[in-house]
Amino acid sequence: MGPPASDSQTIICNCIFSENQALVASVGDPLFNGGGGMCNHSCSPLVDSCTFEKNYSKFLGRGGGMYNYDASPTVTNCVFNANEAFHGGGMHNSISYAVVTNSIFNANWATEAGGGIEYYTSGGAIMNSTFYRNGWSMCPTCSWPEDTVPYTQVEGAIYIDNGRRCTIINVILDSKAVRGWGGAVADRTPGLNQTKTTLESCLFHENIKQDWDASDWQEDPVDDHIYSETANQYNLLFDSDPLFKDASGGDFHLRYDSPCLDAGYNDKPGRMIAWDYQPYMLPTTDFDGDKRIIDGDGDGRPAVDIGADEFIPNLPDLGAFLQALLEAGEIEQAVGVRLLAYV
Amino acid sequence: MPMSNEAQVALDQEEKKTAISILNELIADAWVSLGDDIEMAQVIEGKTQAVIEEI
Repeated sequence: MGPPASDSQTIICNCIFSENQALVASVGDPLFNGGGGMCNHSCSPLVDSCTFEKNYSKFLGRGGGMYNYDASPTVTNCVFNANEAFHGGGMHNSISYAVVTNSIFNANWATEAGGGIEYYTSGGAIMNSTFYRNGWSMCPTCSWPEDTVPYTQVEGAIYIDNGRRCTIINVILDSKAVRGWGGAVADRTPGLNQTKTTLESCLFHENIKQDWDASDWQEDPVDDHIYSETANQYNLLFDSDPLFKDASGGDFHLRYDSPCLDAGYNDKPGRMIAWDYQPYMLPTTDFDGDKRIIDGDGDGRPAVDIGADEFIPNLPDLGAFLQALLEAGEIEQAVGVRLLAYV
Repeated sequence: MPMSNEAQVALDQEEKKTAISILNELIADAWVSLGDDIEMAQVIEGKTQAVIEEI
């Protein structure tokens, strides 16, 4: 996709980009090649409620699902599933500014760096999104079988190289696997105030790496969530299971007992946002259109949830909560059985 | 003793007011049944009230 004829914005919604491939171009900027599903050059499309699945950017290509070059796309309510590239399995950004909201990155894979998203000399924001098992070789079009190359080579699910102020807010980063530097987020941005990466109210769980010890990869992967010497880090949750309904089955809705409920950054009143000059708007709905913000944990203080889903309290989950109290012995058997009967 | 799945049955019949009434009974029952365990009663009330808000 190239620049629009006027100041108009291209809107792409409710589309599926599946099993497309991009070959590496041999002309021009060597970085300007890739985009199995979509390639955006000098444009600012709104991409809403689209699925990018099993797209592939071959050889040294970047951005298996989406490739952005000198572009400023807004990506919202999208699913990036099992895309593959050399860099940026789900999405690659060069000299771009991409804002990603309410989106799910599941099982995207890069042979070298950035299983989910790569920002190279780029800025942008990732808000209220869910990353699960990026970096793992899961897609059927991958070059190697899953059991022989289970890791993205050197950097995490989100790889920021020479970034231009990337802001990551209310994001779940679960189950990444990386060889070498960094776990879920690898940030190699110079420590200048105007370019620093910021991580705010994100949850990290089971992000692992293998260290190189000059002779071989260590046998046992170690927990490692963030590689960065400069990033601002606020209110991060580590080593807590986000408790999805059924992540392996592709259901990233939150359970009633998830630690992500009401744990997000809510544009707290009175807070001086000195680290960022962009007036980011947190989404008013979640990835499947449910309204935000809901008092998910029932404490009377509504706050946005971390991740792409906003938990909506409901009778089945109230029943599950009471059942858990009963089984844990927190309430007496007779009381528990009676309370359960109400729901 | 309430009937099994009373609130869900009411919701299935689109009887929202009845479902809300049943859940308010649950809250009252929890406060009576849990006696001194005020913290637990508060938690159950909060979770139930959150469901009521969304009905």
